[in-house]
Amino acid sequence: MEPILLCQEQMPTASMKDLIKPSKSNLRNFDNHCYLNAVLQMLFAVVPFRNEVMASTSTEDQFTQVVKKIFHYLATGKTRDQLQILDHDLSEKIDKIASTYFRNGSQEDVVNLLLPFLEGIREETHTKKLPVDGLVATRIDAIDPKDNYYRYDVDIIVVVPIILGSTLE
Amino acid sequence: MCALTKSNLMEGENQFITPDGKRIDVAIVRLFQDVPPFLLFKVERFAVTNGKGMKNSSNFLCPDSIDMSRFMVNNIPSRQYKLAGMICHRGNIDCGYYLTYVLNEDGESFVRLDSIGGEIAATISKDDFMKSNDFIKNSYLALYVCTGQLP
Repeated sequence: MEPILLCQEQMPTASMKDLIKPSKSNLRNFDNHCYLNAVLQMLFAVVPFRNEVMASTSTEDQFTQVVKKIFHYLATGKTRDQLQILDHDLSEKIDKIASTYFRNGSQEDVVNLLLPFLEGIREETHTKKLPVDGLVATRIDAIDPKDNYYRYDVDIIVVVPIILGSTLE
Repeated sequence: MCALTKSNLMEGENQFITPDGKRIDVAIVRLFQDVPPFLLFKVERFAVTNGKGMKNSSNFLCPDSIDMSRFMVNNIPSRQYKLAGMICHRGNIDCGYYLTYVLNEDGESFVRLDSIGGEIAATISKDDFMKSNDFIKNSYLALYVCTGQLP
């Protein structure tokens, strides 16, 4: 995957606590969808994303609404009924949205899931503004030594690949 | 990050053609104009070698914090990022299990978010987490959050 790091138009003023907050509940594992739970838990912890989803007004049958329901369970700590929702709604929708991205049996599911996952929410919220400021943006700016600017249009998530054997810095 | 932003000399067939038609060698350096409050780093643990998928479980230590200013156009002092979460993968390419760690509100510990249902039972101190196998050998997707004052 091409390394893509994205920027956004404006950044909110926020403290660390306003940005990251873990959930109080574990999700259940069904049908080996632990990668899905891992993604949901991480996205839930990103407070601006959580708020965006919780405030969304998509219709009942939509993907975002299903994610919203799960976020609601995570927020209240009541995951008892979560299994049913995951089973009947989310699984089907995720599989539909992500079907072109999955390689069968592969363990490398998480990033393959994140992209269509966020794309699905973006489509449904009908906003040009992407639902995850900071996680997703629409362009990358670069500059060369002679101060020439380059601007690339991109439409996927911030994922910077790290090759093992290197260091992050 | 250095590899991502290192200079890339364009020469030979890739020579840059200036607007007035001259061919010159240029070095392109990628620097970031700005970076968002959240960053995800994906550790490339899965690769296909000789047609067979493999998982690389060698050690990789994600730093507790990253200064992004040095990779940016203007040296903005507030671009300090702190490790805030991690998706880890236990197992191998054929069979495995994902779980998530998220920085606790106290900023000193991580909670382990498992797919076991029920309330969160596991809180682990930052030191212990950073010594754990999940952190060292199973790290897959690391989430960083900007700690500086955002403009």
